[in-house]
Amino acid sequence: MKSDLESSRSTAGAWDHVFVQSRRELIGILLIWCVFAVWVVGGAWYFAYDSSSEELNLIWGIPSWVFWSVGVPWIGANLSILWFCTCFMKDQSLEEQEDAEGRGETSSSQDHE
Amino acid sequence: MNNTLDVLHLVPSASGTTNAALITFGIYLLFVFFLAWLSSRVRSKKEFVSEYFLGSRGLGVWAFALTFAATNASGGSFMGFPALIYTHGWILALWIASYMVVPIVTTGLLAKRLNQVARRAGAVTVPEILRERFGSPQVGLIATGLLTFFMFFYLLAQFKAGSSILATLLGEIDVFQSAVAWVAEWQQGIPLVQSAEPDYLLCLMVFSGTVIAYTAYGGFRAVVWTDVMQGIVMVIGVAVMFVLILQQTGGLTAATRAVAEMTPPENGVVSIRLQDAAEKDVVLRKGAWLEVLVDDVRASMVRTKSLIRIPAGTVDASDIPVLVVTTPSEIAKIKPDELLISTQVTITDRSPYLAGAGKKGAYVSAPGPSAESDMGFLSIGMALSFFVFWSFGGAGQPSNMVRQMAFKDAPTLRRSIIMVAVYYSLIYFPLVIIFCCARVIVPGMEIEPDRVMPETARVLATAAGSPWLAGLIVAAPFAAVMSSVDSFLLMVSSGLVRDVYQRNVNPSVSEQQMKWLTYGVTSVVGVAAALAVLNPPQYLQNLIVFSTGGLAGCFLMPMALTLFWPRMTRAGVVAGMLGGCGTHIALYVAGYLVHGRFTVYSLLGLEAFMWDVVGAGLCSVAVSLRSKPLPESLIQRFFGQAATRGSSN
Repeated sequence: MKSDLESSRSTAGAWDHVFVQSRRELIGILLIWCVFAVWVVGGAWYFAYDSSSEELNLIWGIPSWVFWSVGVPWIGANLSILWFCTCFMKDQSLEEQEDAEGRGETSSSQDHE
Repeated sequence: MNNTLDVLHLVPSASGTTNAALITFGIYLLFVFFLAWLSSRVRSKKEFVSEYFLGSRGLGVWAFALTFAATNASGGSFMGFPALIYTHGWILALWIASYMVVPIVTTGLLAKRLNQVARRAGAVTVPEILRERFGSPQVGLIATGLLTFFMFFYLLAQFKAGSSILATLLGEIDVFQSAVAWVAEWQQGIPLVQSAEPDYLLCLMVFSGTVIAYTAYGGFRAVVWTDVMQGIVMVIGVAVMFVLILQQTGGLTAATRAVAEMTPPENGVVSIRLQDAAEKDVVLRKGAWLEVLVDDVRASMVRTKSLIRIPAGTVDASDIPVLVVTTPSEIAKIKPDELLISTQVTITDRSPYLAGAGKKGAYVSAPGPSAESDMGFLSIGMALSFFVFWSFGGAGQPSNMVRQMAFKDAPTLRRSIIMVAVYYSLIYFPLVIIFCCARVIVPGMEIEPDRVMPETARVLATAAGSPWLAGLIVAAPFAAVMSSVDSFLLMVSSGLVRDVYQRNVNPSVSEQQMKWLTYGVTSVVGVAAALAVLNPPQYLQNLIVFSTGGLAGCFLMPMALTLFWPRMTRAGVVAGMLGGCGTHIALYVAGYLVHGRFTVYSLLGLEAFMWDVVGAGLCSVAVSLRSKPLPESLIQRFFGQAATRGSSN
């Protein structure tokens, strides 16, 4: 099956650029999510759940475990999002509408197996 | 002693400030209708279907970002979430922490590709994308069926939530109470409505009438514009509360130190003995503060959880449910209601919290106090579950997918993600701070935690000497519910009109007929949802979880694979949607069998959503690999470059 698909793609042409770039961005987003999931949940587990300290430590009025495992990563996430959206994501034309509306009305019957 | 009085309490709830809320609310509704009218003017110049359901794919940064943010911030963000923060403390920062990455995951994961495929397909609804991508009307119909099924449950829950919030916000206003009395008289003898609570019924009529009218008349663009306005109302409301509460609690450090000294309250039962029997019934309002004396020294303060009526001629009332305050500084500070008749209050039973009872610091540490679970409010496993659920559950919501089909171009998407990230940062973390601080200035709200938002707004605005501010603040939760309901209402009607009628029953329907059919169906769906919640079903919150989890379970993996995996087949996408749905329903059936009520079974302690996604993904991949690949022309149409697409066709 796979070889059929690959061969048909090679005869028909390359993958669409938006598709390829979107897939790259999807992987980037999943990596960002993983980094902050580990930071937040791991940090909370270490500083809040696994801590034997009864003392209240505040940073700017925020409990220190919240500051380090939610507040700081929140700022980090915003900076990552800023970097991702300005440096990693690419502006690509999504238009390609040519006869799209017309296709939408008729293609399903044409494309039936 | 004055025995002619029949009302015991002397400290009625302040109602002066809430008149300002009514005026603000009235202005707000007028503005909503103005936006609906404006959007209908824009629509008259454009093609109906694409404009009505998708705003002609022309959403700019502000519109896309704020409609996305506002639709996701449902009423829960401003009623349920503050209630949880107030009840469990700083642990809610961890519970909601996933919102730091929600903007990029929910908005960015599928958006660019989804928008491109929707344009290539000429699709204006989510089922239409699937129909065109796989060249199969059956796939589109199955998607419409699943979407309508789960969405209608969600609509029911949101109609109920919107009406309840409105009743809470307007409850103490004289004009509102007069209207309620009129409705109570009117509803007698009308079979369908006579058993409904009159205040709820009135609010349901106002809420559903408003939402149905502006959604049906204005379409997607009206929904988006009102979302923008509602999004701005929400962030202003939070900002005002944030400044006021920090001022009035002496700063965050002082407030957090005070919260750290608090110990969780207890649920108790008291008996009340009057000094003399009254000639009329004696009434004690819900929420009254009573002093418990031992040897003439204040031992505790209790707050009534319901209205108490002591019959004329008697002096004793027993089995009165109360909240018992346990923090010494609060016991000393809270001012009891001044009663017209001397009373003696005795605590006869008390139930401490299962986690955090008597423990200082419970509200500033993990896992947070809990009355129901000895594991505390949030175990580390559940913290991970919520981090997954908020991000990916949102990405799988069809209401978000529709918005991702509507933005104008790629730069709009990039800027919108940044804007949503800033917006959520301004909303969610400040809400945690505000309602942790609220424990200091509004004690005892555990008796009715859902009222903590309007009550805090009232207290803050009154203390600031600007009662109109309360109106502005309390408009925020109502705005949040409206912005969610209108989107979901439009999705159900678009599914029925576009996907079922136009694409399968009458493809040659004229634009004029489509227009009136759409108005009619949107109105009928809205009215049906309103009628269905006249007597709201039990387990409403479970219905919300059931429907949102079901939607994400059915659509996230099938849609992601549809967009990114050329090998996905018709049988694969159907198997994925039905697999996600089947897993979801199976976990609810298991939950019913195990717990004896409508609730989900948490397999291995994980959210049902995770199993739904796994089920949908496995079914999609396994069935796709075992079924015949799609024709090359379809794959080239959605995965090939423009030139090769042209040649392949």
